[in-house]
Amino acid sequence: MNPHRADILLTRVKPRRARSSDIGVIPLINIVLLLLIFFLIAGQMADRQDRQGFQPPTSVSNKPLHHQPITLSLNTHQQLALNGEELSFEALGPALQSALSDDTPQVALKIDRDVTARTLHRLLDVIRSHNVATVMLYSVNAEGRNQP
Amino acid sequence: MNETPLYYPRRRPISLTPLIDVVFILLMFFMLTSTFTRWKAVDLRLPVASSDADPKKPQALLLHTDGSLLLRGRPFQLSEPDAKAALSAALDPARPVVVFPEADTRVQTIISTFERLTAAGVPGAALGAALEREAAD
Repeated sequence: MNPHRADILLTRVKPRRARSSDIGVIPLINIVLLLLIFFLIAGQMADRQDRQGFQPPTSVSNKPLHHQPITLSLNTHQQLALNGEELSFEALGPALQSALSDDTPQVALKIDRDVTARTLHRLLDVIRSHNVATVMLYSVNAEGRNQP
Repeated sequence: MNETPLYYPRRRPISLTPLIDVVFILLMFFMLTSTFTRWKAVDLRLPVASSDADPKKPQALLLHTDGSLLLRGRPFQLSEPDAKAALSAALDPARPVVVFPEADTRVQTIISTFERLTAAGVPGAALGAALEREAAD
């Protein structure tokens, strides 16, 4: 073997350091903290919608509801939104007129379960004036969520 | 000159701790970005003007805030065991049914009432205008 090469190999071999007793503490803290964050987030997932101020009504329906092209949202503070964009009741008529260009209008309503019939009627009046005879209400199955 | 390398760097196995870190972060990311709610549709019919030459007169049911109904002047609970028989005796199946809720009735109560009506043999009821307390009395 080339003596020069042997020298290089010898210099690259580092002596093994003695294992410190607290060498595994930092990764341990890391994982414990991650577990803590994980359970904090997982514990709050059930109340996620409540925190957003929307509590869907429950039903016994098993009819799946997928995303609808026209979705109206209404919460207990009478905040109205058409496809996620907030608008007033007065502006709803023209906005709905332009959105309902399809021949078979289908409107889905995402309404808080505590909204009163008075507010609902105000909304349905506008929808009905556009010749919509049936609306679909967003709900969650009562078996999957506790009845209030 | 073509020299062979002095040494090959040894491929270190992936350490378990960073692997768990990454897996947990990925898990949290997908949990936060996913939607867990499985939406179910409830169809709600609205009373609209009929083009029929001889439209059938609708039958009105008044819905109170506590979920009880007023059927021909008589208070009525859909949770009663003989609800189905009482409804079939009082309502004409050939005529449409319109439920008029009191103005302060919650949406949850309305949906539950419509589902109970369907279960009691009155499907396809429509939701009428909300009535203020004085009108309901």
